Amino acid sequence: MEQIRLSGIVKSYGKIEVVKNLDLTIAPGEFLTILGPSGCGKTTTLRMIAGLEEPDQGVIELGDRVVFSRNDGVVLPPEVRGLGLIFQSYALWPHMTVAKNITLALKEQRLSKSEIEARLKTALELVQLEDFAKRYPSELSGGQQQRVAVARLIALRPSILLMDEPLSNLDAKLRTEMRVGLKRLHRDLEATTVYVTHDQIEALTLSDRIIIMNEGVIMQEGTPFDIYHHPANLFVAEFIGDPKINLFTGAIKAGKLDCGDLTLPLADEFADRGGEMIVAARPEKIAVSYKAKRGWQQVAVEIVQPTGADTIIQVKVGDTHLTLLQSGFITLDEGAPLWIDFDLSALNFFDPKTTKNLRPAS
Amino acid sequence: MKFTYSTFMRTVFGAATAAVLSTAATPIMADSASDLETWMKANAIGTHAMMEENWSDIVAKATAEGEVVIYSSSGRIAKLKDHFEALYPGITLTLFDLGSVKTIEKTIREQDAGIYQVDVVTTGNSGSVIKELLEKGRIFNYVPAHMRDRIPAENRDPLLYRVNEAIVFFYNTEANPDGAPIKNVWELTMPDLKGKVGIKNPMSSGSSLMGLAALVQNPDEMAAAYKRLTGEDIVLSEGVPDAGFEFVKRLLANDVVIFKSGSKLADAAGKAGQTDPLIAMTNMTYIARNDAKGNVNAIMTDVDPFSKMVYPTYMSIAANAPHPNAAKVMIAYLLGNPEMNLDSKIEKPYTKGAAFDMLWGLAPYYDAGSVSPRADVPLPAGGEIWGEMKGTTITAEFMWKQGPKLRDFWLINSSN
Amino acid sequence: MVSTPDAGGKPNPWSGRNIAYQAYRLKNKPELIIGVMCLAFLAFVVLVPLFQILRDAFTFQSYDLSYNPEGEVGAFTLFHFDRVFFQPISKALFVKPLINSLSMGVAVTTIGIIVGSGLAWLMVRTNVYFKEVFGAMLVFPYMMPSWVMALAWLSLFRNDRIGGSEGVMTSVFGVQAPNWIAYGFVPIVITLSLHYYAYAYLLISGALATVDSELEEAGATAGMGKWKRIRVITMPLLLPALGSAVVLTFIRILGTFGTPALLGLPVRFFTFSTQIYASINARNQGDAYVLALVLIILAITFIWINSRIIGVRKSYVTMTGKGFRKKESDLGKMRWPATIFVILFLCLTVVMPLTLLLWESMTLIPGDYSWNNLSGYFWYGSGNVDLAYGEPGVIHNKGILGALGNSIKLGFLAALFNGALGLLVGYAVVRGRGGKLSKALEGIAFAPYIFPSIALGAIYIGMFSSSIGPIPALYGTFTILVLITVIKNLPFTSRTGIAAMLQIHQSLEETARVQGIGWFRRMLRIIIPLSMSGLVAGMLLTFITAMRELSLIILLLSPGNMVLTGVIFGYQEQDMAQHSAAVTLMLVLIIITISVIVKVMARGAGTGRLNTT
Repeated sequence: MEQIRLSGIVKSYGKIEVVKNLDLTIAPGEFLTILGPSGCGKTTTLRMIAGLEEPDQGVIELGDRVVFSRNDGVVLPPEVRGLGLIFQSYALWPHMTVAKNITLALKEQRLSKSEIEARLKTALELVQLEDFAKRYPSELSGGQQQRVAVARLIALRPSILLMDEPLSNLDAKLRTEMRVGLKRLHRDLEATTVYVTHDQIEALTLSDRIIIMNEGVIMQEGTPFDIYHHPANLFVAEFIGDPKINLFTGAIKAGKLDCGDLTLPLADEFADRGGEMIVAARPEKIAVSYKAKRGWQQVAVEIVQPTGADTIIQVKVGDTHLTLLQSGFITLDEGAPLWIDFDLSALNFFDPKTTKNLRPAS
Repeated sequence: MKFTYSTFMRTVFGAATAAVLSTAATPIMADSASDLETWMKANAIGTHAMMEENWSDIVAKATAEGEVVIYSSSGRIAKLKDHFEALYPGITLTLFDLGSVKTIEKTIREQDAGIYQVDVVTTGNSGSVIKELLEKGRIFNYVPAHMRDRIPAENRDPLLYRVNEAIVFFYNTEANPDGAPIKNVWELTMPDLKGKVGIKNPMSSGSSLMGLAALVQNPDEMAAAYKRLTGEDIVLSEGVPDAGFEFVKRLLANDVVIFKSGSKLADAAGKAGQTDPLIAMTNMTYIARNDAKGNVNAIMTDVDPFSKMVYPTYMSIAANAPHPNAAKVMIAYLLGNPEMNLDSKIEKPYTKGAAFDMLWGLAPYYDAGSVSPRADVPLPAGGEIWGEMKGTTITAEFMWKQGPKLRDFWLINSSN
Repeated sequence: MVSTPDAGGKPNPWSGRNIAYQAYRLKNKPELIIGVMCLAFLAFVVLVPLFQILRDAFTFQSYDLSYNPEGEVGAFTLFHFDRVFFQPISKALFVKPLINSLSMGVAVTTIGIIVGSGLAWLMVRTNVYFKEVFGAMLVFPYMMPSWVMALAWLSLFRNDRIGGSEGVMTSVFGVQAPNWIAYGFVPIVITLSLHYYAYAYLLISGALATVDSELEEAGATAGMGKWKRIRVITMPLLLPALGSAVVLTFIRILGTFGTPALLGLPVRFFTFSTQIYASINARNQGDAYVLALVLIILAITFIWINSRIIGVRKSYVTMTGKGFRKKESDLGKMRWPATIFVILFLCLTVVMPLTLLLWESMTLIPGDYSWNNLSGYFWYGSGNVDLAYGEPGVIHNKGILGALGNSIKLGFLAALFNGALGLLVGYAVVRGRGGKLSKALEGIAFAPYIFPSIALGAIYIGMFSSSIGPIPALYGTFTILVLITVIKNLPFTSRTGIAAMLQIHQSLEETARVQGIGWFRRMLRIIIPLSMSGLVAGMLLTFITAMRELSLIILLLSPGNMVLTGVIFGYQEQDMAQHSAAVTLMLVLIIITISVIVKVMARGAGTGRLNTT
């Protein structure tokens, strides 16, 4: 278990700055996810920690070792950093058996033959591939290959784990299964883990902490709960949450937010502000009634998507469209009326100019 | 045995190591004491050559040297190895057979780079040999004192010949039972013989070029021969300097067939059973192929103005030769046994037995059409006509000055 | 402890710390170190000869005294350029041969690529019968000196223009083959195509063997017909291999000498190479080097165009860690016809010339192909003075057997070093791709290909005649033979090295790095095995070319180092046709045998699922 610390990391490719002055500390044993759209710099950051890319400036420390420092002229190669890395493509060596794939690096460490055998056995058991030792990667399914990649790490026992979108090549069902496997891996190895993905569900389900990156800058750092409930800015608010969060732009009038077709409550502290405001409401936090209720606003059903345990309901009022989420398997007719109400405590308010959350998490 | 990857790699590396270790050859080092003057003086060569020599002393020194290295334009010298080494035990013969151009090239490059590993250089190509090798001090003329008198001056000055050869005209006796089909070279340029004359590519063959050049170097004789044939003065084409060049131009215009190999040319002309064979302008020694390949060629002995175009092959000692005395012995050997004279009976096979013991270094070259520089060597069987044929010898001056121009002329006029 | 940055953010470039940092960076990027070392070595062995050619092209040579007796040898002059490009002789010396060479090059390259790719596809991607045997035999035509094919052609079609014995066509059909069939452009193109298709075949079959057919199946799912899939998916992925094949073949044709001389001269079809060779033979360095420079510039231009079209940056990754399947197309009804086609092809290109060689080696009187003229003398006779100057038959001939050993050593060492060098260059170029070092290295590794062999050999004498720093004078050693052969063949192995490296996703190496596996082990256990098929192809071709090589090394041969091709050359010069044929046949058989052995060994080696050629 080691701490990871990045200070003042900058990375450019030619003229494009891919990572801008990044400061990040990951506590020992923590599971941190770097979440963001493609091109945001998350994979680059991960590779810099691994030593596969070199920052232009800054310092990287693993535990109490400085593995990179531009000013002090320290650059430790990946071979000696002692971490584990799962690639998106698993990077299994196609010309070696599963067993060889797992044990090749162990031979480098001059472990005794019996020790290597033992680790191999354990690793294969843990990923449930005991009978596959002599197979070649081309003979395995996607899920099995991923498990071999995991088995490698189990055998290697690094104290830091890096994972680069390891589930993105699997089908949905497998993904859900393997998610659990990865979390278990993190726990069994007691390793500090940095997980990179663009999939928010993975981020939310696996992490102790999430950082969201966009264009090389950290948008928000926090626990899944904080990120979900108190997005620091519009980008995070829109990025996290499936279905996507509802956004309303409205003018502040008489203590409420006038958004045209709808009126939303306003927090007291904003009442005296003039001008406009952006409000965000999560679909599941908007109350729905099938009968008219006082003070509730009427909307009309557009599209209904039952997902099994929940139902996504697209509604519209006037020119405004919103998304609602209700539990249960629901069917409704198009055009059917619904009545909605907003819960002030669940709303997030954003400054239209800075896009920042005006009531950030404490 | 199972061929695993590691076995494969181990085998490969093992074999590689073995191969590398076995080729640890020591490079031939340049002579450190390469003062030419000293060398010449010590060995009585070049400016220090002497009129009289102590031959047995030379042979003794040669034996002590132990080796003689030859660069030769002809590979037949290899036939001499066993005989020479038996005659002079203790001296090993090491031969590089490179063809004339590469012999000259290699000699020049090595001499300029200070590498002295060759003793005897024997090659043709008069212009280069005289102008670039001899006059530039890269090789030296050496005539064994006891042979001087037997060699006419023109065969040893400025540089000693090893053999003389000639380009001549062959005709197919089966298709021409009445004798040679032409009596004048200009007939080769006439419509009757369009596409029926063959020549070895003078652009890639020094001997063929020299043969042609020997004709070109006599423009007056060529003009006179033309007049004798046609009764008229020759009219030169535009831009052609003289009758010699005009001949070349007309030969090409008459669709002369260019061969890559002189021996194949001789065979093509001489193969029996043809109704309309080529006339070959090729090396006289190929007449011997009549026996070997069954050709029915004969040599034209009466062609106006010349029947034979002669070109020499020289032999010399290289500057700073590492085994100068062995070189001297070799050159003497190549001239043939001093006991040989015009009355000697020399029977085939020449490279065996008594004949070999007479001919020595001449043996592999003892053919019709290949003549020793010595005046006291009998002409080989079939080659007696050499003396009867009117010939001209290519001069180094002409080759050096006009050779390139002749090549250019050929090139322009042979391009379609 | 970590220090704070200097004021201003970026450190001073020359501070001790920064130098230490740059040193670390270099250490962590083995591709940089390797790249720099290779670049330095190659710069020396490539740029120095180039410089010498340039220098001599602008210098008054002793040959030029014939044109300008007052000239000063060694002085600067533009005479050569004027002569080759502007004077009347230019048409014959330069223009026409250039046109001939270019048209020859285009024709042979086109046919060679088509034939080679077609055969490669048949072998790798279909279920034609006898694949193993065919796959091996399809390279045989390349193992023979190219003039063997030309000789065979002449034996068939020789007409009365060059007289002599009849061609087979004449004696069987009684009809003289017209000149344009017997000599010149048509037979040159045909015989050279049947020889040089091997480049395309080897390169493309190597690439096809590693293209994941999943990629093509994706196209099938998208509704693309078979030919469209090949056009849209497979071909672009094969582009690096195709591009290399085109470049290699074309440039090689531009410089090839033997066959055009044999088949072109009777009808005065001169090529660029014959002109260069003729000039060098006449020791007219001025003409020769100017022409050589033109060749070099042509080659460079061609390569540049080719690299613009393909580029190294685009991703041709087909071998990731993720699963890999190869599928064969079923030929169905065409299975036997296709097989027969290949058999016929092989008869034409392999069986016929070899039979001709064998027959010729056994004719007592050359040119007489009748049954009762056959004799085994030239193989096991012990020397008869009346025959062939007393030269013993092959088995008893010490000279031949010694040369045999040398040839094999040369081929083997050249192949090995070349393979290693090609791999290192490929590694440095691909892993460092996009950078200046990578581009420079790729360019320079290809450079030796454009030097005519003769010129390179002559220059190497000068270059290595004295010691350079710690390296002793290599002239006269076996080492220089290996060196020049390696250099001359590096273009091919560097291309295969690059192509092989391009197909290995860098994550395969990165995961090894992260797991703590050092550079050498990574090369040994991962990179080399994965690039094995490409490497072996390149090394085998080096071996074959080295064994057949003559013009490159003829000036560099020394006493104990005679090789088989030198022996054959000697026999040809002395017109000892039977010995020449016998030794040539022996050379070919040995090359074939060793190639087969290598293939079998490499197959069994643990490259497992990947190697099918």
